[in-house]
Amino acid sequence: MKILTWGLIISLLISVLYLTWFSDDPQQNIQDVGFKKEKPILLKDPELFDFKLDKMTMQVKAKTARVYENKNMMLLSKIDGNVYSEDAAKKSTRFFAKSGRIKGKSKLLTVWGNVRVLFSDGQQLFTARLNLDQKKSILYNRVSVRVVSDNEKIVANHMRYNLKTGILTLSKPKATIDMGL
Amino acid sequence: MIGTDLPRLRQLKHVILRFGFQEFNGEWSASHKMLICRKINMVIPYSSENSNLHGHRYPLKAACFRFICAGLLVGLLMISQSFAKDTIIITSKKTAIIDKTRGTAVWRDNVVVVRKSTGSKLITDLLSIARDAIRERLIWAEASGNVKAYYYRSPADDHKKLFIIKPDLQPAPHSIITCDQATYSRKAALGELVGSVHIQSQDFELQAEKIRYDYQVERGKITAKVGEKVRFVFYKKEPSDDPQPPSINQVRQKISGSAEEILVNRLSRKIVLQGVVFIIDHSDQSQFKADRTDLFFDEQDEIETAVANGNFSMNQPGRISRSDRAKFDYDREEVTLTGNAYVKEEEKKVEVTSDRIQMYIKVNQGIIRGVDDVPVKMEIEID
Repeated sequence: MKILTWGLIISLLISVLYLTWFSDDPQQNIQDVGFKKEKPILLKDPELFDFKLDKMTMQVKAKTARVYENKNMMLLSKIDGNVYSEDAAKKSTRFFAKSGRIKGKSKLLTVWGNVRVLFSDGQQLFTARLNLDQKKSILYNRVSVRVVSDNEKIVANHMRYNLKTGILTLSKPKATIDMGL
Repeated sequence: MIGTDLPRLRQLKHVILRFGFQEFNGEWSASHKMLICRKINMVIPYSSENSNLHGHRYPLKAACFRFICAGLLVGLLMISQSFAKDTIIITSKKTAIIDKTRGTAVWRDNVVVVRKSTGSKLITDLLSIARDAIRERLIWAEASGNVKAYYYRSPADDHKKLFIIKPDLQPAPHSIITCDQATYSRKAALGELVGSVHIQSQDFELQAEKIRYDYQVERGKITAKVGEKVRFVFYKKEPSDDPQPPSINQVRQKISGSAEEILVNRLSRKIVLQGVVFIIDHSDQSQFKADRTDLFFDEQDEIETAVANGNFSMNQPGRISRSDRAKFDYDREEVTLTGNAYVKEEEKKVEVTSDRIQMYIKVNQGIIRGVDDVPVKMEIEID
């Protein structure tokens, strides 16, 4: 009886962990039954803008956008985005991805598939998936990343980039730096 | 060219065309009445079939061309070896925080930095670096907490040395450095090691609280904690009449001691020991004290000459010496005492006082003499 109870508790714990861990998987969301049921509004070559105090903070271009009004969600393909700094003199942070999703309420943009971020200093970041929290002005993920510049290559387990401060945090990083001749 | 051969090309289904250095794979399309070409590779004319004829016609020219090409290739390969870019690998177990606005990076938890060309390694708890974004170079770096560095000289130098001694021996690090904090500044041309500094090198050993070294003028200062002393080990030069061939088991003549402060002048190969200097010569267990001692090194980083100044006193097995100043010449194995010089040889029961005494460092050689123009007072005890 004891073994059965413990077994039940453990299996419950595992299922809770599994659900919390994988609930953020955007590709899984696409396959949701809800999405299949709802007929989206299809937009071609849309451009999305986000403003804060009359100042543009983000611009996203896409090849297509499927708007699910009931779910307050938008699925994008072939994304080319720009996040602008509050400091007008600073260059924007640009990102590219194969697909993406914007959750209306949380203002969370999740992109996946050959994600490339072009930082203002020319450094590039490559990863499989990336989240942009517009409220907190942060780019983050939980998958491996590769940061590349002319003489430097860094691989890390995951990243977090504060768009306001320009601070990039990489976990368990390994950098390979080429020194001059 | 195509114009002249066009009738023939039409009969062919598949052709290869060469224009200068470029080679094309072409197919005649009857429907489009045109040749559809695709570039397949680059060719050097002398290797083509037609050019072979030229090769026969101008054998010297072709041979020269081949020779120059081969020479260029070999040259390039050789140059690329020596001009190859060096690589630095940095890893950390926790995070790297890169501030893109300031151009700084902070690496946390078990940070390991490896220089690929030499194998030199730095291990620390925290590494902070600042880089010049435009010139892409390091301008400032600081390693904090359990700093340990293994420094290897360039592999070429080590390889040469090792090959003479033992060809199959793996090189040992030239220096192992441990401290609490290490800082480097390109702008100030300054390197600083702070907190329980220990340098174990092939040429010396140092234990201190702080080492400051200016790369531009190649001068440094080594200090101890208040109330403590800097400890050091150096190696003195072999006497010129007793040179030993290089071997693995070669025992170098060790000199160790302590001082309140050490000043380094790399350009003039000079080290100044200041403040109650105490030195032990391990070859004969002799000990001496002085207020200040200047050490002069040769190209092998071995002490050639030592000059002790102020309240010099030396204790050797069987001999006691005192003077205001003493100059050790390790090449000739001689020491010259000047100013109120006094030497007492216990075994021979001889006492000498003079303004200047010159003697051999080894007591058993026992020759003590005053310098020609200076009078010597010698007292010999008769039983």
